[in-house]
Amino acid sequence: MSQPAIAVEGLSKRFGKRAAVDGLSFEVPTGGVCGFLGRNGAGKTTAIRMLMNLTDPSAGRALLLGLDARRDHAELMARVGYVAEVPILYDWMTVRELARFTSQFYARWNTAAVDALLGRFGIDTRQKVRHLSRGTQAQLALALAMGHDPELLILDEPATGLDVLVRRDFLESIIQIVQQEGRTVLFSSHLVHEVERVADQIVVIEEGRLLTSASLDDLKQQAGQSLEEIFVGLVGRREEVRQ
Amino acid sequence: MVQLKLDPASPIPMYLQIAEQVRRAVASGGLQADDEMPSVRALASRHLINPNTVARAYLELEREGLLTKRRGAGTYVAHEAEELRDAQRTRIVTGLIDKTLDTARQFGWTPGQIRKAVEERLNQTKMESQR
Repeated sequence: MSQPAIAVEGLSKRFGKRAAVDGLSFEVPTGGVCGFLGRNGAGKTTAIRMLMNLTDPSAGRALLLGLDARRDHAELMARVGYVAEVPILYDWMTVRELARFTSQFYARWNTAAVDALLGRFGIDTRQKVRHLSRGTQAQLALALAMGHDPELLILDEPATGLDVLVRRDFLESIIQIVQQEGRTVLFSSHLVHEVERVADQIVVIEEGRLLTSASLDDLKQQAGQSLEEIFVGLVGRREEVRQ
Repeated sequence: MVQLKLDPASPIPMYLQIAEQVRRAVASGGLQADDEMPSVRALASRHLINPNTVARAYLELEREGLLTKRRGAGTYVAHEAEELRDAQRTRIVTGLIDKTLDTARQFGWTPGQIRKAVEERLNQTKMESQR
C-alpha cells in the first residue's frame, strides 16, 4: 500500500467545554473519492478546517500527502486544493481578474486548465464575480482551486445550495479530476445520494466522532443495505445509546 | 454496445451491478467475442460514477475470463467468452430456479408438487407460444 493521501490521528477540537471534533482517526487512500458524511453540526467543517490549518487542533494531528498539516502548511498549500463551504471570492473583480490574482499566490499555475474548466461551466470571464449566481460562484471556486494542479482536493459541502443540474455538473467535474491518475478528492456532505454516486471511500462522523471508515462497496456488501439505510442505522444507533 | 442501468442508491455495490449486467449481456449474446468495451473513463463519465468502481468491475470480469485487456488498445470481450456463455446461462437460470424453489419450500410444497407445477407451466407456456 502506498502512503495514504490523508491520515488523521486522534484529532480533537474543543470550543470551551464542547468537543466539536473528538479523537477523530481515519485514513483516506490515494487516488479516489472519499465522501465525508455527517449530519449538519457533526463536526465536518471543523475537521476540514484543521486539515487546512485554518484552526489549530486541541489534540492530535493530520497528515496530508505524508506532510504535517500545521508544520508543513506552506508546502501543502502548493499541493492541496480547497473549496470552503462558503468560498470567499473578491466579488468586485471580474472572473478574469480574480483568476489572475489567485494565480499570483502559486509558483505553478495551469492557466489552460482553469480556462478549460471555466469554459465547461459556461462562466463568462468578463463578468464581475458579484454578478454570478451562487452556483456559478461555487463552480468558479472549484475551477480556481484546480489552478495549481493539486494532488489532493478538499471540498467542504461543495454542492450545497446548487440546483440539481449544476450539482450533476459539479459531480462530473469531480469525476474528471480523479480520472487523472493518483489524484484524491475528499468532499464533505450531508447528502447521502450524492456521496453514494461518486465516492469509493466513506467516512461517517457524528458529534465529532468516527462512526465508520470503509470502502463503500464493502459497506454495502456487508450490510446488504443502501448507504442511506447504513447511515441512518449508524447515526440512529448512536442516538439510542445516548438516551 | 451494452446499455447499463445503474442505480447508485441500490444496496448492491455499483461494481457488482456493472459486472452482472456485462455477464448477462454475454449470456444473451448482446456482447460477443472481440466486441470493444467502453473505456473506464468513458463509462465513468457517462454514468457520473467513480472510475475506480468501473475499474473494479472490469478487473473482476477479467479474472473470470469474460473480458481481456489488449495492450494499448483497451478492453475487449474475450475469445473465451463464447465458451463461457453456456456457463453464464446455466448460472443465471439456476439462480432463478433456486429462488423459486426457496419460495415453494417456504410454502411447504413437496418435491412432487413443485415438479408438477413446473411441468404444468412448461406445457401452458408451450401452448401459448404456439398460438
